[in-house]
Amino acid sequence: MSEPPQTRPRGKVDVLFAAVVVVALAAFLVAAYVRAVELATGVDAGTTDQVPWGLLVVNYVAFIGLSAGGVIIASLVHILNIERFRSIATFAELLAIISIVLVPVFIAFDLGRPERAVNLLLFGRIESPLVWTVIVLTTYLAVCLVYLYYGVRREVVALGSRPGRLRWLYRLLVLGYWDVSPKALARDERLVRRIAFFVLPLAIVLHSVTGLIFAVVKARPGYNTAIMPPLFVISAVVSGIALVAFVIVVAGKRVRLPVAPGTVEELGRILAILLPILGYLLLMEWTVVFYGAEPGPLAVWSFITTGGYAAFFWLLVLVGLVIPFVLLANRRTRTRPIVAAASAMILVGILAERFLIVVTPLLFPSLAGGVEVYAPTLGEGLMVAGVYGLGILLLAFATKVFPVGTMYTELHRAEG
Amino acid sequence: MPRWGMVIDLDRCTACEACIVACRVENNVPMSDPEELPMGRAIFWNEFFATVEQHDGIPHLHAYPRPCQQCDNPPCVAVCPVEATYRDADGRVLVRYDRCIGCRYCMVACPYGARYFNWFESPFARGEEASWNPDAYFDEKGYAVGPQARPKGVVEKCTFCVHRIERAKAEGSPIGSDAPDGVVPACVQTCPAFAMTFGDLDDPTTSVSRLAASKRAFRLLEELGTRPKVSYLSEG
Repeated sequence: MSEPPQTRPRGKVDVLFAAVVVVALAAFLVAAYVRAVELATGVDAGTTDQVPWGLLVVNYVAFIGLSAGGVIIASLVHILNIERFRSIATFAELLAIISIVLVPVFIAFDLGRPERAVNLLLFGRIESPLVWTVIVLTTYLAVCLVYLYYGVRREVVALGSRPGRLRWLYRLLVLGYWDVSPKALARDERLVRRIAFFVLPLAIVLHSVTGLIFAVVKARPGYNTAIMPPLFVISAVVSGIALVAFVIVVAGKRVRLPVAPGTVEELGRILAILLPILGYLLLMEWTVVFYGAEPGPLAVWSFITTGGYAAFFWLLVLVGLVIPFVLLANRRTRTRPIVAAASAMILVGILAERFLIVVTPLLFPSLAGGVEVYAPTLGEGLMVAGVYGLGILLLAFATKVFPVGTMYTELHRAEG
Repeated sequence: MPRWGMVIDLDRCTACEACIVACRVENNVPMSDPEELPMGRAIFWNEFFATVEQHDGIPHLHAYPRPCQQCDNPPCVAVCPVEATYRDADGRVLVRYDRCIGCRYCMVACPYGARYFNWFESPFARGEEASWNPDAYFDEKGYAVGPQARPKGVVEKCTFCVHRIERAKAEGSPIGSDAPDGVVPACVQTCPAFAMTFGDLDDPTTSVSRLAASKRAFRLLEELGTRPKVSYLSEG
């Protein structure tokens, strides 16, 4: 358990790890190929002039949301002083950073002219919600990187102080701040605490702005509702925590993450508190839509609840909300494997929610009657799968290059 | 500054769709092949909408062409992250093809579905079409915003034939439907039923401003507050 990876005998290959890396890399290479062909010959996706946004935008929104987990865990530790989560705070932050890094990849796979993305910086119009997203997401990523740096600095200093193949990298990443005296660490701790107070409102702004991308579009019934920003904030927090809980159970042992006993169960309890809030927001929206019977939103939500997308709707309601709530609210069923299963269900359910919210309003043109069809293509699916693969690759290498879990245990054991 | 507008009299419209064809030829709007049309990837700067309604068992055809509505409060311009689409001094909404990043937010925001994406390379961009209209118009910043060939991966739409109007301004020719040889967009010029009128909405002497203020005049989805500069005169 405490065997540091550096001393693993050469030649002994971690088969499962290698298999995951190979599959993830293959998925990403396939996606890159599909995209290259697309750029050369034309868009290969189910999107049309009537339904201009599809699976890639759905995932773009979903991954902004997934980044919320890291921030919430950090806030629990540094704002609410819940020490239990300290051991996983850095790992949660790593997951958040990887989620954010994947967001521009989804955009690059979706834009008609990805090479012109620099125009966002050159000609950015502050009136556009997309520019708000660029500004807030960049700030958020920067703050999260600073936070991660302070979270792992002591471990990286230790890695940089002893021989190893990657010593040069660790020496570089310390950024010249080698002081690990108790005084310096206490100073770091105070700084991290201040960052936590800043990053929590920033996260709320980020997810609200993501909701506003849709809420400000008056032309699309279904988008144009003030419930969007709070719905996106809660969806983000729920999916973010579910991601952390799921990854910790599935991969925590493998990356030697020192998870304090009861942490996962506690995450499950927090999810059980948050799920009803998400259900409540949706219920309020549905009440107004169905009671008010405004033709536009009514058409959108009727199509979701009883029309072509009813399957996704019940996926959201049952798999995303009701079943995980029942499992997590009950102390007897709130065990590690069940929390992981419930978290996986929540992740699927929230993805269905994102799909319904992003795609359905586009199916109803304001002028011509009739319902449009959105049929995702294989190429589109491969591109999405490839970006998921990239995320798994980044996580695999980050945990391999920075065995922070092991280091954390070692350093704390040395302290006594 | 003039504020160009258009009025379409639905009592005169015969649903011949000549305006759609004229627009296509004038503005180098690419033809779509039989594969692209069902994929929802056919470009229409001016699109024709038709519905058949039954009144006491008698079918009635309701039909209208839909150029870009050239809104005075354009939602597409509001959401564009890079000012690729903008409202020019004459109130026209134009697209800078060489600045557009292809995010398609404007297509989501436009309630009229007037904006189209270049999913594929247009045959004009490859220089393959014999029927190429060589007219061009560049805005004051030097961006192509007229009927020039559009690159793949950007949004395009109706410009109220900006190249015609601007050339007429430069040459001092009369503009609008009132003068005998007044320069007007291709759709207006070609309409065999004289259903379309074009001119300056801010000039109270033009027929377009008079018709736009008539009791029969309405604008599409006016309730959204987009303030379109295209008006329709109702039937009956």
